[in-house]
Amino acid sequence: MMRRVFILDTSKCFGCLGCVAACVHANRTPSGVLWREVLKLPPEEGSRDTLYLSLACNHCENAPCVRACPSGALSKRSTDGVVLHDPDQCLGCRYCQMACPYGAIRYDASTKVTSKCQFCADRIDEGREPACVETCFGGALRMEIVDSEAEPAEYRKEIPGFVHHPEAGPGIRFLRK
Amino acid sequence: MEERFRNLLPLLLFTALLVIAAGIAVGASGCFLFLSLIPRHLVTLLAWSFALSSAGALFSFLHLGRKGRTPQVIRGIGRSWLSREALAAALFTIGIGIAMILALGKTRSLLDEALAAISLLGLATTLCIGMLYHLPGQLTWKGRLPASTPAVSSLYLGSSFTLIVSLQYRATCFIHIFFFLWASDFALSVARRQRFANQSRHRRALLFPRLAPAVSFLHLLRLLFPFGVAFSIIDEAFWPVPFVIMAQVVMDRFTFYAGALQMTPRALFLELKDERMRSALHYQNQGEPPA
Amino acid sequence: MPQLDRTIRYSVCPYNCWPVNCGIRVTVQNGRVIGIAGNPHHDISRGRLCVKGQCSGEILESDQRIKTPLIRDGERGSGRWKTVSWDEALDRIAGRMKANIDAGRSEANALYHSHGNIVQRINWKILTPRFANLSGMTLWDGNFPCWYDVGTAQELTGYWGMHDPAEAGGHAAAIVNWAQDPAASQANLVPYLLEVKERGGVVVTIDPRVTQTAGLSDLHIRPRLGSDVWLANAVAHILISEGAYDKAYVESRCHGFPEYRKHIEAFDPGKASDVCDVPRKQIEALARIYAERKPLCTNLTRGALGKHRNGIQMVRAVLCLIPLSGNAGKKGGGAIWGETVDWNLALAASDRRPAAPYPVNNWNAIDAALEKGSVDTLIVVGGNPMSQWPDLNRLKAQLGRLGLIVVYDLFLSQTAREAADLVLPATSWLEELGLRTSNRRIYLMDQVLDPMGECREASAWMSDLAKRLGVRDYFPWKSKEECLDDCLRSPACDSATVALLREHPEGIAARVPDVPYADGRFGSGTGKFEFRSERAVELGLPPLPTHEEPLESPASSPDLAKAFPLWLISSRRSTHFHSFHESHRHLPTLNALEPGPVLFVHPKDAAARGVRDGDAVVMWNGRGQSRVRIEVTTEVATGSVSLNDCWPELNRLTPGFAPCPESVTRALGMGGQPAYQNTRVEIRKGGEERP
Repeated sequence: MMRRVFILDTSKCFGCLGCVAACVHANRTPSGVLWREVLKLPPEEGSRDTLYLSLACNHCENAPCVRACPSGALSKRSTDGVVLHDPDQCLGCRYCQMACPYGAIRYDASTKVTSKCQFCADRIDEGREPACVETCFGGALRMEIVDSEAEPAEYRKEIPGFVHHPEAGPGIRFLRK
Repeated sequence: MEERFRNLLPLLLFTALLVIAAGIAVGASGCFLFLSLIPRHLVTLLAWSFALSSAGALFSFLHLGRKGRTPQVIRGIGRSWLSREALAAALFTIGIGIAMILALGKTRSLLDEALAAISLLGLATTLCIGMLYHLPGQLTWKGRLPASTPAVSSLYLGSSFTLIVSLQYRATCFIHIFFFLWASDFALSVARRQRFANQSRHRRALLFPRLAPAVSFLHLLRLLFPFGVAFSIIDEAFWPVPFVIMAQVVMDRFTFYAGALQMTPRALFLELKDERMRSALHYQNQGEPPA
Repeated sequence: MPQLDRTIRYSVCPYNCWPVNCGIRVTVQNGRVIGIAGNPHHDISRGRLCVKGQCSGEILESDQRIKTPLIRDGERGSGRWKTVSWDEALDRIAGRMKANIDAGRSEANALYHSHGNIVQRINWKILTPRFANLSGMTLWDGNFPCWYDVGTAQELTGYWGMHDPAEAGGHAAAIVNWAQDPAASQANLVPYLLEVKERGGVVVTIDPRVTQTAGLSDLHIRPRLGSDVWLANAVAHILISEGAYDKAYVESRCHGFPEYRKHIEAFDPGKASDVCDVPRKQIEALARIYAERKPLCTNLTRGALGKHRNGIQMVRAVLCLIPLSGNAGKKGGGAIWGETVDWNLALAASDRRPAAPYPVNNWNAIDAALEKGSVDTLIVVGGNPMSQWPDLNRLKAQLGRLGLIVVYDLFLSQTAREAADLVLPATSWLEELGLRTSNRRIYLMDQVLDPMGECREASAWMSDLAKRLGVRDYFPWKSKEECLDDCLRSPACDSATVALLREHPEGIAARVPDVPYADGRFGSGTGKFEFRSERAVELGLPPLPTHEEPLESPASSPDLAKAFPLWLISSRRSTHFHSFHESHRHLPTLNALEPGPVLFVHPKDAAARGVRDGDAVVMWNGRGQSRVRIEVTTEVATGSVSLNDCWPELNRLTPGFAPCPESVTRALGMGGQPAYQNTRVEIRKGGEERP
């Protein structure tokens, strides 16, 4: 099955936060709401192996948020597996926030609905890249369409700091030197 | 009070009230169907159940961000435990109302069926409440055992009513039922305490780290309640028992929400950082290279 | 949906990150900016825009922008303001200034402008100095906190020409980031570092902290704070003793090499290893890189090394390695840092400045002037002394004694809130026509919006103020465009006009040497690269790069260092540029990423003080105290803590000491940078309560 995934080369991410800003402005998220986050793990003493992890929504194969959503605001499109959130259907019950094992879903008290990364669905449907991928200076963040039954061997599903919950099946893969 | 916890209070109240309401309904139905409870008392109990269930539903309604869209909550019935819970709770509440009307009426027709139906709906609601929180990444909530707690609590509460009423008749099966559920409730509370004690070492995953000491204390205190109930019964002071169980339910919901542990990547990164920082400190103090 | 009324205009990002100065592409619809993206035609940034540039549109959208002139309605710092008209505000300022002039104390009128005014290069280089010169005012500027001692080192050496970063990316075999963290400060440089690595080149970071750039580097050296002369000179020692240096070049194009060579003999790598607390192997590895990797480009510190008691010498030591290793005048070699394109600086009218004992732009002179009361009126243009000058408690008392303080800014800055009597509303960068450059090309900063509210650009109100002071020809041009065209009449820029620039979003090439010093002619008295600086001798400074202990170090001040055992290092994070926009409190996205001061503390230092990750602490020394939150991390060494330089919490603690005497500034026109990085502090748990 073909699905869209994020590929993150952690040896190239230096934590510049450009992806976070690009997402905010491309998607016009509510003020102060950030769909993408960059986590930092400081280095072992005596080394410089600081690990940065840029994460947004993982558009899971069996998305817990879609299963959880009572109103159908969250849905997974069959063409490429992107999980979409429709704010017009959202009740603001925030159950999806509890269900998501990755903390990807945000709630904004001013709009009273949740929101999350949409994989820049509008842009990708026009053949462009998601804003975060397009802006990445280090070339660390990429998007790819993979065959979930035949993924390249070097695509790792887990790294220290990111748990691959098989019952969810997140669409993020890691490259690490 | 922390904003995030304040946000969960409506859910705490909703679930507690519905578990209690379901327990009262099951208990009242059992007493009426099997133990000749007089209709007047049945109506009283159903009225309480109705009031508590309605209040719970109100809190749940207030929790929503977009209240005007409430009817859409059941659209996900095919996959969402929240949709199922909402529907079950709604049917349950309506059902109690109907049962009350039937109970007030002169004839007994359909009353038995109605009581059986609301008992099942009440239990279904509590099962949905349990399953709703069976989520990946939730270290203290996930699992079929924690998911069974609300239903067991409701049955336990219900069986306390049948116990009290059955004493007039020396119907020992209700005593057995009660103690079976007493033991189940006790076992589950031990298991919950163990789970929290075990998982709360992941301090970074705690949603409410400042409440953790209170949660630990309450988990321990909770273990005393079954003994309180037992001594109460041995002393033949039966009337407090349902109220003690209701208090337990509220306490359980508090420890449930306050003891939430969600191991998100953010929490895991902080935990890994703590390890690295400890290792760095060790290296600095001992002059040993990091592991 | 039809895209009616949507136009694309070009400008440059409103942050001053040298040497990138990224081009931006602005989408305007119905008089509103609806999108800011990178300018794909820009020679350095090539369409990329860092986190700050991407959020710059939030400056325009903020409802906290000042829209009218304000006068304080209560005590200074009370936070109460009344709206006044521009006329009233300017009358007040002119009145006070004239009183000082009439009393024969024109130097008591001072103007300080800094990074907020550097956004518009023409204001910075020409129009604001022109105002100060024609009105006869003391002129101070943000060069002194930023980089002046580095500039002094360059002046003493005769080394000014900076290479183009894109050229470095395309040709260098190695890039040495000496006290520079481009990954945090100028993210747009990182693709060039990666380009070097992709070609098999090496990237080096020299910094006591594990910076973001260190994570990308092949070699990371962590010298003890302030020991860089020993490190650089030890590298020179190895190069010279192994004969692995450019003998021909140092003999023909350099001055003072024999003295330098003799001087270097004392900087034995084994001893350097002790002094710098760096393993000898690393010093040797660095020397090997200088010897073998050619060409090697130095990403020269632009501020950090200058902020030390020994700053001038540290930079001199690093500069000397450039010709020694054969990298002067070579494509892909030399040093990168700043812009080198000059405008028609005669328009700044420094020759028309009336004579007066103006305190020079040197921290010692400034501090003395404020302390003695030589300054009565201070106009702050795009600057923030109450956040970015050192020793803030002392400064606050000094400013308190001034008669009139005026602040011109976009938002109510720390200085405006704590010290100002009058606040003047500033235009944002898109509300003004201007010019910027990269290292090689000239770009237009188009005016895209009408000024908001009653905001006026600096030259507009300076013109009105100048008239009130009797200066009729401050703005002799008919329009801003005509003015800018005049500013472009310099040897480097005369091929450009505003009209032409508007047609060329890819900029117009400036006439600057493609490879600085390819002709071997340096900007010193001897015309050669001065290992031994003759100018230094004249000025009473060490002629050769010598080591001096940092202020407040265990070696120089043992008791003080014992009482305050931690070095406080000011650092950069991706999200802030100095204290711009109230430390980004008014820009929601950047504020969400770093809403308050976060102090990096090593786990050993945290454990020793019983403080944990996320705790609120009080940080203090003899000059003051600050409340901050800590982040426990191994990114700092033991014995040092670091704080983003955008927070005033930093400068409550920094020393108001500048090693460079006033006399040097009078002679060279630069110098006098405070030793910000030589600050010792202690921390303890506490500070949850607000004072």
